[in-house]
Amino acid sequence: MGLGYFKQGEVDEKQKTEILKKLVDIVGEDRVSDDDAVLFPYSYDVGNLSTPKHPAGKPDYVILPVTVEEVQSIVLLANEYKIPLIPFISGANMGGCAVPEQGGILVDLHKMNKIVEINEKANYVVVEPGVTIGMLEKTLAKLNRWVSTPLAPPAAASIVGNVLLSGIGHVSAHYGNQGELLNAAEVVLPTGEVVKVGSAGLTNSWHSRYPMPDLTGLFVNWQGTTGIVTKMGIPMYERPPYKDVITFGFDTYEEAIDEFMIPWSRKELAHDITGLNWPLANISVKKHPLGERPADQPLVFVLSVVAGYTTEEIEFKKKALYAFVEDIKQSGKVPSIKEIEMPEKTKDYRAVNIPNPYAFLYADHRNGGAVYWCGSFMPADQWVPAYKQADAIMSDLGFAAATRVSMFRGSHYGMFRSIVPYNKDDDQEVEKVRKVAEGLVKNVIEHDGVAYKQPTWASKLTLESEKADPNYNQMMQKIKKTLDPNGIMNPGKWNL
Amino acid sequence: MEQQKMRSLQECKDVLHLCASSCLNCTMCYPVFEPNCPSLEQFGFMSYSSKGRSGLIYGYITGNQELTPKMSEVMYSCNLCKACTVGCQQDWKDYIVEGFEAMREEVVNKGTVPPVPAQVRDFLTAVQTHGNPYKLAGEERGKWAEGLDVNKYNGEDYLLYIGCEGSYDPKGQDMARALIELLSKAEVSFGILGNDEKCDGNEVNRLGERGLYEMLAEENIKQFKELGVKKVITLSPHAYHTMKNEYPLYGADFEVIHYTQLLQQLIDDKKIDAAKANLGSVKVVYHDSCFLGRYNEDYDSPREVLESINGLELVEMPRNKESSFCCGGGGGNFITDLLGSGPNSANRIRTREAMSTEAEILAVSCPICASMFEDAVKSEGMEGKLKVKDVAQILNEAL
Repeated sequence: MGLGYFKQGEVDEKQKTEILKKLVDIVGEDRVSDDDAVLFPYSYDVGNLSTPKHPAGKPDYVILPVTVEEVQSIVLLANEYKIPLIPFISGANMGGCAVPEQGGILVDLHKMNKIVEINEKANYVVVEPGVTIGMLEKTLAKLNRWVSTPLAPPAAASIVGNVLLSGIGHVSAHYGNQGELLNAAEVVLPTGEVVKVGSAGLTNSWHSRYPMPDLTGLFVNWQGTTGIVTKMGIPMYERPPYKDVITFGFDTYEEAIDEFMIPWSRKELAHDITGLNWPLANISVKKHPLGERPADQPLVFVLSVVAGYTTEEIEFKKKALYAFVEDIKQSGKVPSIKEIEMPEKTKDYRAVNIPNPYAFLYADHRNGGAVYWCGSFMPADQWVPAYKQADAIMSDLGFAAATRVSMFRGSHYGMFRSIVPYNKDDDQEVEKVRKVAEGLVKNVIEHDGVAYKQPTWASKLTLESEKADPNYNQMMQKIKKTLDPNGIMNPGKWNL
Repeated sequence: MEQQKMRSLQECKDVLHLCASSCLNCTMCYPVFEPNCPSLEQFGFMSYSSKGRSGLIYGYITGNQELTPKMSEVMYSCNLCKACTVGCQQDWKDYIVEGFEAMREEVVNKGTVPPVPAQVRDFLTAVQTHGNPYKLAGEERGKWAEGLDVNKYNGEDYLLYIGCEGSYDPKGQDMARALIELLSKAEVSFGILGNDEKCDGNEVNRLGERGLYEMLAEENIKQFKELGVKKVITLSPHAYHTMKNEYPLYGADFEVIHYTQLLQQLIDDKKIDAAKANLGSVKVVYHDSCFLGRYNEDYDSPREVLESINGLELVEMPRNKESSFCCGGGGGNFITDLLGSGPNSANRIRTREAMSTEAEILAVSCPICASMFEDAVKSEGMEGKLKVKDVAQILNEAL
């Protein structure tokens, strides 16, 4: 592995020491390090095929700011030396988004962890990057509020990171992906200015992204290439006291998706509609090999989470669901449908009681402590063919064909995500996973999806596909150049 | 707890999924609501977290990370409190501590010059030379008991094993004296070893010096056998842990009880008349020792003893039982002080948490916790507002 920014053979020791000294001047010597043993854990990610055995890249320094002013000073210093800056919070993104590709200064923001404001009337909360999902959930639960809460990441992950990378929240079927729920933000631009965007940029309130020109979008899904977000305002909602999880099983993707999930989600009565195929449901409880699906087990489990502020409301929604089920049964289009009783633990956590008891159990499926994760946003009309192709890609190379789909905001699109646990110590297996990874990303592109939290090699495939408008990439490059003339912010991500 | 042969790093490597390759780096070991890792809280860099250390070990095994003094310091800055195993969902959770200890043994096997941190080297040398980590004379080990009416062990029902902290640390000595008074009041047949007592070796083992540990364990087992010891009461949960779970690997066949478990039993058997125990109205918060709690899953014995005292209102900290936040003294840190001091040190964080319950007494069941919190109370300026006492002292005062 190379030395990053200070490339092997080209190290300017004087400059290296000078930069370290200036970083120490900003935060003190306890909160900055250039020692290899401190830098090493920042050189790999959970997913994206980078591990301690195959690190993807390493910073030259790691620094722990606690104020916006410190972040600003770090950015100005980085411009002075034209050294890359990589924003980082807890490193749980699974896409390598915060693993430095060209070395530089990794800015670990987890110590900036204040909940700055909770506005119960305007229903928003303002948080710093280090506020964890769990911390926010616990605080808001006391006020009978919640935000759209990601259930897949660890509860120690950052809500800010999750929003900026368009994560999936527990109410996404109602409200869309996390990136759509960003009201306003405070950002340190790559040139060092601190700016507020969204309503916070023009008012004292963090309530809305619109109706002003949408500068907020310049920071969502850009993987830290356009600035460092130091505060974020997100909407919160009243916590419904009544929740239930009702699950149906199906033996074909067509039945589960085309006949159930899509029309059911159009009724906008459930706040989470998620389909898990049988391998995905089982890699958390069984070791490799999974074997054949038993005849009495469905191919797809579809969970609908319904909630209500009154008993009448939830009963109405449940009644509507069962009435819908009855209708589609009568149509003859879902011959295999059956109701499934899920374990209480599943019901609890999907109704948002965290930490998630199932978060990463699948990682032990092949005794290897690694997972490749290809998640995408894909139009729902493509899910069935995409599922079948994903199944083939994974099983042809001997992996469990584990894929999940979740509706976002009505039925027009949603998350399509394949999970590939693997043994990171087995180099032959790692090679196979690389092939699976490429196949899955191409499958996504073929079916009009876009992978989220894309590692660089995947974003290259996306940007260079026949379907991509070349002007899209050019526009990204123009915006990047304007915001970051020295090209210091997380270079390489999205090929920027 | 399942007894298993203690593995070296090489042995862990041979069983692939045991040695850090199983760590997903998923961040489940990170704090969710409140700090849970003393070293991560103190230093902030990911390398000081459980997942960071796991990654360093795997990087070392695969040749991507050199064993440098800094890496060694990172490995030794872990208290081995096991809080990370509570959040971890992987198979790795059952081997995290074992893996970290195996890596420490690797460091020790590289020799006593760097990369072994000087503080660790000094700790081990002191135990080897003086029989205790305090560098105090071995001949003075029993001095704290002078003037006390206590038997030198000679076949009594129980051997009361005091340990290094109880013998040399003032807080530990206070605990030992209070316990002896209590056991005498309850007419328990027991004796101590005094100057003949040797270090139990728990911290030595946790620091990776397997050879010295085995020597200590074998000497203690031989001594206890020669004396006909059948039951051992330990003051420290650290001694309790190693004697109960690891000494049998070396041929020990005596029963091991932590003193709070014995006190609970004496109360249940009415050998201590709890009805007479009265402290007036006082609020007490109990801190779960890592070695009694997470390691040996006993969260109840100390609480039952405290709750039997009239007038005592037992309150809980937000992080209690298996989510208890370590005092910062484990893994030898009460002597090596590799975690350093300051407002983010574990003992000060925990003391502030205790204060937040508005308790007047912070109850402990471990002499290391007692010493760490005594220091923290002073550093936090809480003297007079929060007293640190162990369960035996509290019960003794109440009687």
